[in-house]
Amino acid sequence: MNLFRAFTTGAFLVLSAGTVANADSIALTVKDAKNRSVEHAVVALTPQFETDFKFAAPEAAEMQQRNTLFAPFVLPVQTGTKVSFPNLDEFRHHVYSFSKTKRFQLKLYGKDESKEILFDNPGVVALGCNIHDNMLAFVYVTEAPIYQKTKANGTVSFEGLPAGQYKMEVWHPDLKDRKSVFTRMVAIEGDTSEAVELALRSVRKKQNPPSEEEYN
Amino acid sequence: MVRVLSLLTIGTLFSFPVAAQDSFLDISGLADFRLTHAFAGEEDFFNGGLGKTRYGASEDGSANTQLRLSEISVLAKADIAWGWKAFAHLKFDSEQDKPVDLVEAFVTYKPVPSSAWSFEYKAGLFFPHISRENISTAWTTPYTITPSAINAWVGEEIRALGLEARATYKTENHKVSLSGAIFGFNDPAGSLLAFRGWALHDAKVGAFSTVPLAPIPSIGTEDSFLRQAAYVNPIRELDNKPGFYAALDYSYGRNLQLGAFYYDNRGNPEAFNGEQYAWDTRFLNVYAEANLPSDIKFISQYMRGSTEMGVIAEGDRRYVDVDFKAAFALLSKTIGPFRLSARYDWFDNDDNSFIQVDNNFENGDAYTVAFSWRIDAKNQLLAEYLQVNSDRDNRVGLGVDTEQKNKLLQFSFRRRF
Repeated sequence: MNLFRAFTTGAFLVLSAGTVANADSIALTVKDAKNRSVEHAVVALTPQFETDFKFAAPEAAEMQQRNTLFAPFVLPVQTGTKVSFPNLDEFRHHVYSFSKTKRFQLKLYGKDESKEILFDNPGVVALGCNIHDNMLAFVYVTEAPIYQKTKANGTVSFEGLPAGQYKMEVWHPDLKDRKSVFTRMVAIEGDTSEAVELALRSVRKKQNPPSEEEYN
Repeated sequence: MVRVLSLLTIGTLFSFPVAAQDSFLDISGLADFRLTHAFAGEEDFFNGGLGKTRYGASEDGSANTQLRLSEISVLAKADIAWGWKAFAHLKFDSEQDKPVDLVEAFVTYKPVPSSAWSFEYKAGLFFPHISRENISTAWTTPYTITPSAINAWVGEEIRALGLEARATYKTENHKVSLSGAIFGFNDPAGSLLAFRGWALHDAKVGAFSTVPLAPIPSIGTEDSFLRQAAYVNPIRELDNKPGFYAALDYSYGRNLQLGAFYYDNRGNPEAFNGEQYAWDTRFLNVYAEANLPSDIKFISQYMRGSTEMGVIAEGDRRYVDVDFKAAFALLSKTIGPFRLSARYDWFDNDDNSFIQVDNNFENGDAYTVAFSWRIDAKNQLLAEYLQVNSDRDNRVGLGVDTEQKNKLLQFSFRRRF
């Protein structure tokens, strides 16, 4: 038994060492037509070659409700992921989506009640709260195994990838063409960098904070 | 805000399978303390004059400085079920006819949308959504102490006891809402606009309360031209005929809002009961609101309508037949917790009948300048100077000049709880 454990651990270490050996990377900068940095763009990569490389999800599959806001504003997940919806407020949220990708509603009482939703089809899921009109967020469900979203400065980088040809898809809530995502083939070798220009709507969707003035 | 133990939590104590941990009922409120200084001039309409502010000069016309508790409002909000909410607003004001009175009480139902269309229903006693100013707690305005002439009138005479349905289409940044309602118990609406005219004040009137009318000769006594009592009880049903309103609202993100609202109480002007007439009152209100650069907010409303009461007599006109118009434009700039607001009001009423005995012509304008400091979430200080210049013909009946300037300086401390 001990011998078996030692063997499997050893094998695992060897495998880990193998993944670390992938030292290739890609750094992306996403801008709009006016050369402004684009935050909340999801960049998804699909290797165009056989690989057993496993890319860890960049963030927890979690859509919080906190201070009458969804967080994060954009959550990329892979098809088949269960996303949890913890309510960290002391009051109720009634989360819903009527997007074709996933129609659902969740009734969440306050103080840390959490429920899960399985996102089993790729596409865009716009979220709202039936009680708080200001709340807005997006779950982007992708079939790609490798994905991340851009930071406030419009950049995102993927480290330790196996070198090769990848299909790169870029999605953003404000894409002018909502029917298709931005797609390009990229060759990653060594330290690759790419710039992407997205055609976005002039008025951006955003999640407004709850109104300061509230009567009923 | 006082957290009240949820009924559902009690449910979990008895181990019902309900995962309810939040509050069923929220009680919050507002207390408004004032220091008011009315400059020498006319007495206000609450105290027998035709002065157009809430707090006017003394009976002898001298300046009047007072420390007051202008209002304590208690608001109850309850999530009665998913999609269902209940709301009630009770107001205490020692100068109100019934010191404790109900302002609004209604339930709303909003099912989860299944497309870009969403629907919302409301039943009970409520303010139709006319005011663009009274968006803050207890139907106050965050911009000034005193709302515009239009919205002051909404606060006193316009209330619906009825059913409202609203359909909203939301896409990207555009939102369009169409709403309609049928209501009763708003038959006397229009009385104040005719006999007193426009006023600028923040004394929203409770549903069971009356508002005094000045002792002008045409009303209030056995020998008067009209049998109208020297008060108005705005929330009453007199002709058993429902009224309606319809509204169209459009918004572009949070930066632009436009809308129109049409109201007709379908009053039977000949119905008379308990010294109150049903008035046939109809009006159109349109508004534009925009967020301008440098944190400046612009709000404007325009209202025009007519009100009629009594039988048809002279010249095919009813005893009282008044056309009314009012407008305002407000600019408000925020700098951190501070807000500076300035508003210009304009109003004009024409009387189409019996002006020899009951002349309700009036025109005027008003300037309001206010400064607000949101000290924290609970406390707010406001200072406001209000001047209303008006020319009203039936002041002659009270033995005062038809032209008056009503000037009021107020400091308000609003405490939320």
